[in-house]
Amino acid sequence: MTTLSAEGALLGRISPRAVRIASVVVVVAAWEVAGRAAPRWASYPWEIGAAFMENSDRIAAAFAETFKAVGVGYALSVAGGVLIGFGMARVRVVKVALDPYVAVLYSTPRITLIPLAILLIGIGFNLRVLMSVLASIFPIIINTYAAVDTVSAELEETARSFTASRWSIVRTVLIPGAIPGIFVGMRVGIIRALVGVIVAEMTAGAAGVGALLLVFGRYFQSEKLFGPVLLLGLVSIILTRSLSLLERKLAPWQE
Amino acid sequence: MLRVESVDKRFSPEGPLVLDDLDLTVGQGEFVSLLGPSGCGKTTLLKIVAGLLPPTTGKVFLEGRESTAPSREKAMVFQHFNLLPWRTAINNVAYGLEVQGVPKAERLEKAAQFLRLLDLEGYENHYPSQISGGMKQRVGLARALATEPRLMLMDEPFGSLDALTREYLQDELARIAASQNLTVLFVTHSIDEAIYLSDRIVVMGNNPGRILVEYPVPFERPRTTTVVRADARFAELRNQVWELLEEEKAGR
Repeated sequence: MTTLSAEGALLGRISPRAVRIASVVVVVAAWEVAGRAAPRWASYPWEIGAAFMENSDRIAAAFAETFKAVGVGYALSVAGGVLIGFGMARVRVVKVALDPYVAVLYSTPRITLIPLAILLIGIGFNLRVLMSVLASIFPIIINTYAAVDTVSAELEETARSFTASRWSIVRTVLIPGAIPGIFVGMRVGIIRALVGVIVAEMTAGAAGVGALLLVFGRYFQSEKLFGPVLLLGLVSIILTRSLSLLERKLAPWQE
Repeated sequence: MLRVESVDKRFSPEGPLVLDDLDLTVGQGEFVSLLGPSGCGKTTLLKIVAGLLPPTTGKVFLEGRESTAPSREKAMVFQHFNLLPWRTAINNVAYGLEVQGVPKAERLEKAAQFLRLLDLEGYENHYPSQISGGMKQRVGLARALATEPRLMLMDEPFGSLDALTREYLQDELARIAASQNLTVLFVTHSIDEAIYLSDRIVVMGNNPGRILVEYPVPFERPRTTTVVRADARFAELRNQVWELLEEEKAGR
């Protein structure tokens, strides 16, 4: 093993996992030390942990509120986005009719619609659901459309040659062929749905995690701000990982 | 068995004539190859026979009845295999039977039987991405055979395989065609392949696609590629076809 460079030998002996853990420990420890020296600057891990435990009821209630809206909004986006994407890919008139709305809404910063939405439907639960749909439906529409559109014409012809009906072509060729693309849209969409709800809560501020963060910030309680933010990140990772697991179960033919 | 009657094909009303007044018959149990340069419309003709494309004028008859759409009597094998990537080998083989409404237990049993015939035992649960090109095409063959068609339509089925695999599958197809008494219409641009496999070779020319001449192949079936190649009549027929295609090319 004498031919190995010093660097190679290092990576050979130490596992990436150990490096990762060491990196987190070092950064958290440094933050703890620096934070205690200047506590109002950005707080420090111990205080953050304590504040999180102390406020756990409020935080839990806010998360429940937020994820109720995310759940409803995302479910609507997946159902609607897949249907619209399929329709646009397979029925020419649907594509031509919907193209302008998709193009305009997709490129408009959707946050600018919030004041108008508040005028129309108020600042309650419906606003959060609407913002989450507006944030997440377009990647699902666009990825579903692209996936269905690129399912090989040759496979469709093959199905036809074995006397497959229109419906059985949809069932045996288009749907399975589009699953990987639909999941790409769904993975982007879940994060967007969450961001959409949080943005609505921060701007229209009635409830949920977004509103709670605004309150903590307004009272200079930086130690309370970190916990919910880290938890949001953790939940996002869990959600996208679960989608990947679901995809592997539904589409096991992919590597 | 199959009769193609004065078929013309244009892809648009003002478009060029792709097939010009084509007549063709294939008898029960006969193996007929359509041989020609690329662009001569042999695949188009095959798709018209399959019912995947309508002829502009003319008719296709199968066992005396006009045939205008895909039907259970016909099954197709494709150059690029066209297996469904999300189905395992056995479920690909069962596909034709499935869309034709055969109950699950029955179609899986039949699919397993044809996988065995094509020497694919043990690969039932492999996805297409996990097997070689030659094996994919054997799945493609099994899928068509499993529907027990009266007429097999094959569109350059070995065109995208390496030389050794191709030869191996040619022998395999010759064996199966003889043992199952298949009626086959086979598209190829390989003279050798047409001679190895067919009872009759229909040579097509370009611009517009039309039939130039038909050659009977003088070898008894079943036969193998090695035996055919060693025969002096193989070289003779090969040269004859080759010269005809060269002449046709020089003539334009």
